[in-house]
Parts: sequence; structure tokens; C-alpha cells
Amino acid sequence: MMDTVTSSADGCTFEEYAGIAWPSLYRYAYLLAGNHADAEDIAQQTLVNAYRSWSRVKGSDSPAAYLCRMLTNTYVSQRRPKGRRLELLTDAPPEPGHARVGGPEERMALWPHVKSLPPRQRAVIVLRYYEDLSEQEIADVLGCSRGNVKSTAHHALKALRAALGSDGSDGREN
Amino acid sequence: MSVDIEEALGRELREVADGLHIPAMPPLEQETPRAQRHWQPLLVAAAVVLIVAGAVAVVAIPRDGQELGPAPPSPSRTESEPSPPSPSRTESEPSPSRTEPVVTIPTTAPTVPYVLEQRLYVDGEQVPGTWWSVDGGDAGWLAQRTDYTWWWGRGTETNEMTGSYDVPPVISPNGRYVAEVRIDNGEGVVTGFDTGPGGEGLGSVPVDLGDPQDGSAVFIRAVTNDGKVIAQGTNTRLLWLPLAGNGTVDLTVTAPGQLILGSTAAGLVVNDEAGGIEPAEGEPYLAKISDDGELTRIGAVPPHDFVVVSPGAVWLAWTPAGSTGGEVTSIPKLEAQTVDRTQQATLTAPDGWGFRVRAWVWEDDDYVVSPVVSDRDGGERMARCSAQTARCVLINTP
Repeated sequence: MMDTVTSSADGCTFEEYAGIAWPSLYRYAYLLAGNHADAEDIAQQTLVNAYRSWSRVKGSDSPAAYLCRMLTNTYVSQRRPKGRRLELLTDAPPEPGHARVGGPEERMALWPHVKSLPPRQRAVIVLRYYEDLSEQEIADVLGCSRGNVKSTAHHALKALRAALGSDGSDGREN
Repeated sequence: MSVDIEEALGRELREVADGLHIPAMPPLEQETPRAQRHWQPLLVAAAVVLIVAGAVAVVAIPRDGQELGPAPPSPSRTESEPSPPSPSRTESEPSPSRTEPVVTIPTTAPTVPYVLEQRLYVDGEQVPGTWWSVDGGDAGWLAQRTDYTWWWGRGTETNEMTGSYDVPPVISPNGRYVAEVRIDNGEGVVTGFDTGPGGEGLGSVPVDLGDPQDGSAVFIRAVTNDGKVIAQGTNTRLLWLPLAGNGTVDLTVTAPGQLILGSTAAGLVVNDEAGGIEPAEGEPYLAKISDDGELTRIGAVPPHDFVVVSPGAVWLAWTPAGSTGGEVTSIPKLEAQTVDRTQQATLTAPDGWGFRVRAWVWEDDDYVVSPVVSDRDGGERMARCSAQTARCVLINTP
């Protein structure tokens, strides 16, 4: 998201910028939330908050980074979204751990376990391995120290390796 | 660190993102955002009313005359405004220099399970029931209800541990493994299980349970992050290796006179019986234990009543020996130091509050959270302390 969204909002209205940013915001939100309902909620909340702070967002060094921080904080700080539970009331509830798009996600080794990580660990993993942020950049997004990012990533990777081990792919973590 | 898993993560995350069908961007309100989203099914929209209304309320209420938004880059932290100086500092704490940046401590709810006024919260949600305590890590938690039953869980999923527990079960610091002492077909056994998805039992090994009447009962002393279990009583010192061939080692042979007091992210807390049995006595130390039952000393631990180690094994937080116990229910300060002893800090509870004894837990390698008890009326809230800045603030909870 940091690279694909234009870093400059000069000359853009909020609606124009939001339209450009929406796909990247949504993808990032989906990787954090793991399901479409929550991804829409989080991405829309982010746009609402960005609209309210548009002058600040527009004037920042990187509106994309600003939105990334807003979305991440929205995801990490809010309660467990209700969208997932309410999905069960629809006619065709999705299976836990599976996105509605199905198919490729169901064949992946790590993605189902990424979705089981606690929120901050998941955020660090997505920011590192999808957004390709450095530890310092991740620390800036999460508002914590590099050390915290390191330890959070360490625990997340350990959990993922252990999960792979439980699936029989590798030996247990030691 | 394995290159393969990191490469696979990048590949899979990109594949997931690239394969998504992106829905149309919702219409954006020009005025104050309304609480309805017309394209959603009614039930989901009802839930979104709560979420969006909450977000709007957070944004709309000005604090200190400014709109909320993400905090500026470091050293400030996001998610919170700067804490007002006086409530988090005591008279004896020096005020920071006016030229020093104020590092804010988030006032958001704890990111780890916690019990507040007998209510258990996990991932921001209350778990039904009334509870005494909770312990665990990222992988899972173990908690005791006020009816003295034991439960374990991942997130808000709960599982009751059946059977009577004169001896409490123990969970590893990472929350991955739980061990317990049970009676199976009339015989005492040490057994356990993995808390992971599809987690399995760890098997069991027989053990002489000892006799609570004469103080020789066997307790689970420690469960390590790699699944080693240590059970000790007066007559039994057992290392069980359920993940390494279900072997056992007699610690009276390999580590004579050493009493394992607990397991932390930085290793086992051990005391030499020659100096004293209690952690408040002698010179406790941190140690690793091999599959052969040999202890390797890592570093010293201050004599303490209760110590916890941060998940990355960077900081200790403890209360000095003799500071708790008896009728003491809260204390005004915690001591903290890095495992390598290069940094020390005193964490002082917010003015008018004291840390509830034995209830503090590290969120990460800087923040420790704890229930705090009001000096005035005994009410409880949660507080978060930063070991690096030696500051504590009251925080919000559901």
C-alpha cells in the first residue's frame, strides 16, 4: 500500500484520493482481518477518520503512510469485529479461516495460520512481508520501539513455524 | 531465522492480496458520517452502526483542543495522547527535562488476557464467569474460576479441565503447553496437552504424588516453551520430556539440591536449597535445562516474592523479598531490570493506586500491565507501565 498509492495528495480532493487509495487499503485490511466483512469495516473506518483529518493527512510527508498507520491502529485497537459472527446468520456462512474467494487460499500452508495470530503479531507480519516495511517503519506505524517489533516478529514467526510443525510439514519448534 | 518461511510468507500474502475481488468503495458522506451503510445486509449494518459510531465518537470528541489523529512519528506513540504529567508520577520522581521528548504510553486496553474485579478479558472481550487469575502467552491461556475450576483457552474459546486439582496445572510462558498432575486409574501421573489448533495430548508418566499432609506433595513447577515439564515435591524431582520420546530424568541426580521455582521466557527460575527454598531467600538464578536434566546458569535474579519476565526475555519485574504476603493486597512499586542487568527501573503505580499483588504481566519487552487497587475505595482499574521510561498510566478497559 505504501508504494502503490501515490504519496502526494496535492491537488486531490479527498474523494479523489480515497478512490485511488481504496483498493490498497482494502487489500491491507483484508490481510489483517482475514475476512471481507471486517476488511470493509476497517477500511471504511479508516476513510472516515482520514476524512475528518484530511488537512493533516494531505499535509503529511506521506499520506499513504498516514493511512497505513490509521488503518493499522483501527485494526489493532478495536474489539473483535462483529462482522464475523454475524456472517453466521447469512444463508451461506463461510467456513472459519477461509475467505469467501476460496480456492488458492485454501491450499496455502501459512495463510490460515497467519489469520490465527494475535492482532499485533499479524500486523507486524503483514507490514513486514507484504508491505515490505523496515523494522523502524513498522515501529512508526505501530507506535512502538524497534525492539518491540523485533520481539513481536520473533514470536509470530515462532508460532507460524510451530503451526507448520503441527501440520506435519516440519519438526516442532525447539 | 529460516529463509523459507519468510519467503513463503511474502509469496502467500501477495497471492492472497492479488487474488482478492475488491468491492466498490462505499459512498463517502460529505457531512458528519452517518451510522448506516445502505449496501450491507441489515444485521451486519446494525453491528457496523456500533463500530462506526464508536469511531466517529473517538474522532469527534476534542481533547486538549485538538482533533485526534495518529500521533506524530517517534518518540511519541500512536493510539494515545500524551499522558498528563502529574497522575503518573510520584513526588519522588524527577520531572523530565523540558527539552526531553515526552514518550506517550498507550491507554488502550491490554493486549494480553487479564482479570479485573473477577472479570476475565481476552482479546478485548469478556469471558463468561467470575475468575481469580489468568496466565499464559500468545498461544493460549490458563485461568482459574472463583469456583476453583481450571479452564484453558485460545482467544475467547474456553475449555474446562475436568478433574479435581489440589495441585494447580501450569502453562508454559508462551501459552503453548499445559501440564497437570492427575490420578489415572488410581495412580498418580504427570500429563499435559498442547493448546494449539488441533492440539494433542502429551501422554503421561507415572509419579509418586506424595502426601499433602506432610508437605511432600508433587507440584508442577515449570513448563518450558519447548514442552519440558518439571514436577517436584520433597521426594520427587522429575524432568519429563513428552516431546522427546516421553523420557524422564531424575533431577535429584542431575541437579541435586536445586529447586525449580518456575519457568519464564528467559529460562527457569531456580534456587539452591542450601541458601533457602523460597525465592525470597538465598540467591535465585535463571537457568536453562538440557534434555539430560543438567542446569546451566544464565544469570542472577534478585531475591523476590514474585517475578515475571518479558516475552522476549529482556526485562524482569519483581517485588523485593518480603514485600508481599500475609494480608498485603497491593503494593505501590515494582522493581524492574533487564536480564543482563544493564538497566534498572522502579515502576510506581499512578498516584492513589497500588499494584494488585502477583497480577502484573508483560505485554511485550517494554510494557507491563497490572490491575491497580485504589487506596481510597479499593476499586480496581488497569495500569500500564513502561520499563524503558519508568512511567505508569491508568488505561482504558471494556
